[in-house]
Amino acid sequence: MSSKKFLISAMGRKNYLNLSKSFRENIDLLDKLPPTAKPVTLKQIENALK
Amino acid sequence: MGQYCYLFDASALVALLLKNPDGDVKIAKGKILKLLANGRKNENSLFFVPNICMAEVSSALAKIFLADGYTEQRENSYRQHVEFLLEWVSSKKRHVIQTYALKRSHLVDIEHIFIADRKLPGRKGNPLSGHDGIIIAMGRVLGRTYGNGNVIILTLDGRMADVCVHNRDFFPHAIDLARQEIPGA
Repeated sequence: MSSKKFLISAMGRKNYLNLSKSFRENIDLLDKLPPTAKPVTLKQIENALK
Repeated sequence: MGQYCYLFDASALVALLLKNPDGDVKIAKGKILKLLANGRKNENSLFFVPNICMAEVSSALAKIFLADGYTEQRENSYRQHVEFLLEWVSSKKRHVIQTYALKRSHLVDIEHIFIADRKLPGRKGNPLSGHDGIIIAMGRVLGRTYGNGNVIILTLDGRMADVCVHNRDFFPHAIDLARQEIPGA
């Protein structure tokens, strides 16, 4: 699920649209990032930060 | 409601940036998104990331994206994440999260943090790294400005959270994003 859809489901569409335009643009940018080949687990992050 | 000051560590920032997180990372990302949205709505929250974490995040993303070997496509994906990170954190236009610079004052009495780590009851696993200690120390200094109870370190490192939770009188609060809810979110 995209970050935008997640926030709309968590706070409601009306509340989401009440957020500033710049914040919503930031969320759109976040959602445009390419995915990794496989979902990333906590263990992978822990190993990557060692 | 008072003004909360949230300090992201590298693990929290990596979780936020990943498009397809799994399990605990997905839970953590959801909590951070809600926090950022509510913080923006209420304008009562400040978001910081220690500048030393930026290189750590870049390094971790390289390991994640190039874990299965180098390809040009993977390099491009990695580069897009680093550029996005700089845009979100450093750019005046975006300015979602502010960088917080390491100073000499953060290192004063830093040994207390590593001693507290060694005294942690039921201690297991790896001790705190130097990086972890510096982040707690930076949170401690922020606490002098915003109030110790208003500074919250966001991390996926359970050990860092435990050290802070067991020493609440001296260190800022820290939330293990996989296990705990974020106050003020």
